[in-house]
Amino acid sequence: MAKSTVPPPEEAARPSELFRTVASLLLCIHLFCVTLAVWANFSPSSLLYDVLGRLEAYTTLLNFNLNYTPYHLTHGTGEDVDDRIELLPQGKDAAQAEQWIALPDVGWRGSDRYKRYQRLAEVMSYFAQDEERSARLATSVAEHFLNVADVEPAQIRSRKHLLLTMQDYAAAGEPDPDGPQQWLIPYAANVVISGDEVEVIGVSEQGEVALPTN
Amino acid sequence: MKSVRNYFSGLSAHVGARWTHFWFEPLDLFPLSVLRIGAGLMAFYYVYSHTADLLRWFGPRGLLPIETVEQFTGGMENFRFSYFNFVDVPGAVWTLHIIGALVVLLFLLGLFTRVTSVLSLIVVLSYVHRAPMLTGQFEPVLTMVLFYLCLAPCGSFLSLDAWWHRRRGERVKTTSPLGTISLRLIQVHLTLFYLMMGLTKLAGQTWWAGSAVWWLIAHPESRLVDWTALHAAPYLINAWTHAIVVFELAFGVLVWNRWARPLLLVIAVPMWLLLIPITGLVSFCVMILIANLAFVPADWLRAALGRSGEAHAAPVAA
Repeated sequence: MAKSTVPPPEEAARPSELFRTVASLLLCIHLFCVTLAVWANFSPSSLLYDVLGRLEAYTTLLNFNLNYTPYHLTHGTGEDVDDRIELLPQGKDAAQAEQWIALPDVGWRGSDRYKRYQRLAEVMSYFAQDEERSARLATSVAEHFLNVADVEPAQIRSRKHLLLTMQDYAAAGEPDPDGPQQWLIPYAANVVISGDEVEVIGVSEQGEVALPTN
Repeated sequence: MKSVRNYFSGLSAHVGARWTHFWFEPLDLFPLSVLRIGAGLMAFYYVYSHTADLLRWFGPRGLLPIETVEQFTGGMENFRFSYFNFVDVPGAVWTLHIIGALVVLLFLLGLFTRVTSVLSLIVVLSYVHRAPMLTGQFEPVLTMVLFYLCLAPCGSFLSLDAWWHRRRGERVKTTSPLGTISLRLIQVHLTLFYLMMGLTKLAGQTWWAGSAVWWLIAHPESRLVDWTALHAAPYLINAWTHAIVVFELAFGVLVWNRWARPLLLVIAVPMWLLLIPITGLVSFCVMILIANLAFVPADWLRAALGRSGEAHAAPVAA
């Protein structure tokens, strides 16, 4: 380590041997836990996953578990695109893109406020095949808009905004990043409201939800 | 056999001596105080960023009611403690939010630092655990630094605590065994982050092929600046992509070398700042740069902040 300003000798005494021994033991345990938690960020082995499960109380509570957080930023796959949640109010035309209410709907793009909505949309897309969780999340969103925003939803969905390649730009000059072929709908559901109850019915066939052209 | 015994005996003595030097040699507490201010600012921003949509997220009829979150995470059964899980009334949510923001502000200002550091960690973790699916790359780095700052007297300098003790003429330490441990833990943990970031990138073909930066630029709803015109400069995209990976791996290994360290710390600044316009991950990039300060020598930080004479002046309370 680079030389630092060391105070007078009487203040520079090392801690006692007992302190160093106990601290060293705790440090080893802590660093073991932290190393496993960091190492398990991407595609952990079964061994790593099981050992980390036994350390969950410590690593989860203190947020050392990275939980597949994308520190790799991108691998250029379909998972590494922008997501949004969209809600169609009752009586609106599903074919008109501007009639859908989209989340994120607030905040500057660089703010955590904006990013939280994007991550909510990622979660909805990620769990699209998990009927229970996707329905639960969609119901919560629909209920919020019904009870708080005074919007009666008819449909709810998540959409992935696919990316254009360098070759697309080279070939087309100014390609349209919002063109119809740039969208994918991992999850869609019709919303049924009866009194105070909100139910979502997942759509498994495209024909049941009129998809917009944009 | 004797040579083998001698080898392991020598190895044990050497490792023990290096371990003791690394973790227990007294270090100046000034960098920790600077880290306190940086982490405190980011923690205050993090808490404040929830203000506009607080009830929209955490309210009883919000987008993420407690029951919904528990279905995804298991809630407090899975060690995700949050005081927001105990309240379901808008007034109570707001009260906790305002108190949390005040606590973090006190920590930033360095008042009752030994207490407010722990409370600030609890505050930030409560937001994280209330809705963990909303967290990204920023929160783990922030909570990591906050946790380690709890171990040390990070209010020794640049704080209201320091000012108060100076007024009272109290003489205190400028080093602390826990301070050394705290600083070293931040350094080691950060190094692990860098190595992990570099290695996980290499798990994807795009980083080997040099196209990963393009896939970041091409995000129409995340990027802050539209640099798609760079499609005409594929070599630049390739070079930038490779540079990121090389830098992250190099940092993780070479930052421990006293000759390479200054170069890496300087290179880190444009490296992370240039990621901001293409990823939109402002808070994460800034937090990493703040955490990097753990590697900056105390002398340099003192000189940069005009505090060079303070180390041998009348010390203030730790």
